[in-house]
Amino acid sequence: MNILTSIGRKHLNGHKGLTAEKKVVRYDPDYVYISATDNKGVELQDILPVGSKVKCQTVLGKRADFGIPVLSSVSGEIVEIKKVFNKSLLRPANYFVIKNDKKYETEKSEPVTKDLTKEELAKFLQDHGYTGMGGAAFPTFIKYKTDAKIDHILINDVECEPYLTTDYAATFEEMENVIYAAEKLANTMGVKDVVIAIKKTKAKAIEHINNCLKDHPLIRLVCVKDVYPAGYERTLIKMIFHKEYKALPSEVGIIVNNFQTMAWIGSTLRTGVRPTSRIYTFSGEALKEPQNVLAPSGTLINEIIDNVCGLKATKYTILSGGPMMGRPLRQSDIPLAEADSGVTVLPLAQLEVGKAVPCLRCGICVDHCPMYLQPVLMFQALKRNDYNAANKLGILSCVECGLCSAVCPSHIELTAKFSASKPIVKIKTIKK
Amino acid sequence: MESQLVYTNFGRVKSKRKTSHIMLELTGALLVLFISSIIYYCIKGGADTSKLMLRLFLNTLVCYATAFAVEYFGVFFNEKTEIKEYSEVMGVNKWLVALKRTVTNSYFYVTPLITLLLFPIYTPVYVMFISILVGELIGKMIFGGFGSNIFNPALVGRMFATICFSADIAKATVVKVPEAWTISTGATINSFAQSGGWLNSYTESLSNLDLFLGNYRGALGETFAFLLIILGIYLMVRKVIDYRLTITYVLALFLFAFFMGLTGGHNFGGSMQYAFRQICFGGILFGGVFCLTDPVTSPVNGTGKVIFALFAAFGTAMIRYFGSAPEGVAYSILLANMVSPAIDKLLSHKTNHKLVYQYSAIAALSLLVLGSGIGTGLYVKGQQEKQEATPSTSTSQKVNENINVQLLVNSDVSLEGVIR
Ligand code: SF4
Ligand code: SF4
Repeated sequence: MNILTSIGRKHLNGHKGLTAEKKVVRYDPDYVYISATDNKGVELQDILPVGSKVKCQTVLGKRADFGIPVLSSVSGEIVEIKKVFNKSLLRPANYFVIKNDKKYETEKSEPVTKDLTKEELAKFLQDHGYTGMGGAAFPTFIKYKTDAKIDHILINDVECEPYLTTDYAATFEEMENVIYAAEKLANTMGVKDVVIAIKKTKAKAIEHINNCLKDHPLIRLVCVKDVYPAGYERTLIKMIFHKEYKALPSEVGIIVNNFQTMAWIGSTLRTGVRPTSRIYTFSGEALKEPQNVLAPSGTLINEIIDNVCGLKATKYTILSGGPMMGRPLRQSDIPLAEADSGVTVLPLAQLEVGKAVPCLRCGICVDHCPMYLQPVLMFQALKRNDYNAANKLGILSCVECGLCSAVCPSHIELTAKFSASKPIVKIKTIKK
Repeated sequence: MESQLVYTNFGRVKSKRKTSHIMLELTGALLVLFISSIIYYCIKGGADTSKLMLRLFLNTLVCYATAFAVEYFGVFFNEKTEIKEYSEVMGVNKWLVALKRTVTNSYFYVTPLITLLLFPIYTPVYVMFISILVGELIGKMIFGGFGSNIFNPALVGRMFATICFSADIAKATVVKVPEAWTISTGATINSFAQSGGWLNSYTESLSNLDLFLGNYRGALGETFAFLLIILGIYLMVRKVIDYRLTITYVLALFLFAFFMGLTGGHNFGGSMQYAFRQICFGGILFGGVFCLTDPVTSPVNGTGKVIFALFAAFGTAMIRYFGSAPEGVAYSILLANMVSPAIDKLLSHKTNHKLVYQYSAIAALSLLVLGSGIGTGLYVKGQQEKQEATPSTSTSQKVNENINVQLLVNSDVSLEGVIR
């Protein structure tokens, strides 16, 4: 135990009871909206023209940055390409609008039974367009395209973000695929130890996983404390392996994958079907009926809210993600992406706005920051518009986990300030 | 019923613990101390009780009135634009807004209480007035109010008073009290101890138990060692103060005194007792629990806090045993306050990449404190031996037998009232 920080000691109220034990419900939209740009807003290459018939898993275009394909999530027809608000770019961008024929025909690939080499594995992951499903959408193949010696594969089923239960719901359905994928990948990478990490408090899921793991000695289950941000890979590796790294976990011989990413890889390897629908948690006190919804990626948020959940608050706010890391939305007709875990809708009355008092420099935020930054100093620098100083303090390394805002006794909105200021810092410091 | 989507990035997950709770709890602890000392002086005050209480009452009144006035206008001046905006939006009189902010954003009620506890009971009212004025104005409001100050306001006031009015503070004890051994502050008990030679058995004048329970006179808050330890533990458990600061500080000083005792010629038990007495004397516990831990003036980083506390401990020891000032706590904490921004600056950005430096800095400072403890012990012993070799100066033998004589020999104005 290090007395000099308190990283990994903060327990948050999970609010998971709203959706945790609910059956997953299916929702079929009439249209889906799939982004025609990559995460930086650059147009895809080799775009399918309007009017093309598509099936699930048909390649719509290739991302310029990593060369990974973007796949259709439904079968049907591309009816137009139009500008829709993109919530990760924070501006409207081009989207394929695909009319869903609700048949979900799939352009299957070949199941993989033989052992893969490292190169084949990376190619396989790249060709099927996997990106991390935990939120950051980091291309999966890059993690496996490494020369470092890998000792552990860590499957992240922690889900520390309050309200969200998508990984939890998937745990009961996808264990078979996860085990298949884990053994295959471990074989390829020469890994002798695969770890599934989950929170101690999820007793039912732990029991289920343990049952499934009986004949699989390669894979072990590790239970971690119910703290935030246990699900952040840096913190998780520190908690399980007691290791620190600079930029990527492969530096210390670890590859981390989200549970559902692993499940999808397993499904593709086993059956040749790459899933294109995922479980989204729609939760929050402003919804009549919070649900775990299985929907094709590209479904509009407001469709699910109106048709599946229903609103009960008069004034509410919509977050893409959970309350900690989630970003508020200005409008609700926004398509869900593959990397989204869910949507939280909170009544405005539940929020606490404008009650901040002066910072007392207690250092609690510093103790908790999983990036080992000094939120209080960055905040002070930003307050006097000193973007250079903020940059020197490492504001660009902030992962916007929201913890500093959550622990601050003065209720200062640190994270909001950081996410608003980061673009400015970037511009100001590049000029220099 | 029309639903409305509102965009806001604020206020989703918030800690239950608020700064105002922290401040109130701290004030509660201070009040316990304050009330205990009132009770003590009511019981032990003898014929002077009413006089003492009246003075205390006046001091409290003056302290609070001054602090409030300074903070009120300070807040009004410092936050002019915010107050104006708020009063326009909410339609509230801006003087009322400032009033609310003085309580909720500036916590005017803490500093005067600490200031009161830093002085002996019979401190003249004007000394009190000036030190709180200086403390609040120069220590706090000039820097921009709560959260922006560099120095601990109460200590700034106390220091100012020590420099300007030491004689007046010392005279604060010229009140008849029954106990023959009563030692009063101003010069505090330490000047008394110092003149007896640090390692000698001046201890006889005050038993361990009395010292521990606070059964003697001194600055209001400083004497009740036992109570201070309990309050300190309570506040640490409640996370009102940062345990790393207090524990490092007190422990470092304890070890310093312990090693000083060992090399100064005490055996193990004697050194323990010596170190224990050193901790209970004077302002170490009070400073460690209530002054050093002022979050505003200490570094924000965990390692920084440990380094800061070690630095303050080193300063306290040096000033106490070598400096001309008998009481090093206030000075050393203010000195440490001064380096606190620098510590913050050094320990910034991703601190996990600098762990080696952090640990070596802590180790080096700890060694410095312990080493100087050993050194001080040797030095003091050497001095003593020299003294014994030349019996022409006031013989330390005699000193031990009769401290009163010793003090009278060395007497100056401040010691007149120290013994009755
Ligand atoms: S937690 Fe809040 S009050 Fe404490 S140092 Fe950080 S910003 Fe300041
Ligand atoms: S939001 Fe950024 S600064 Fe705040 S705790 Fe998380 S990583 Fe640290």
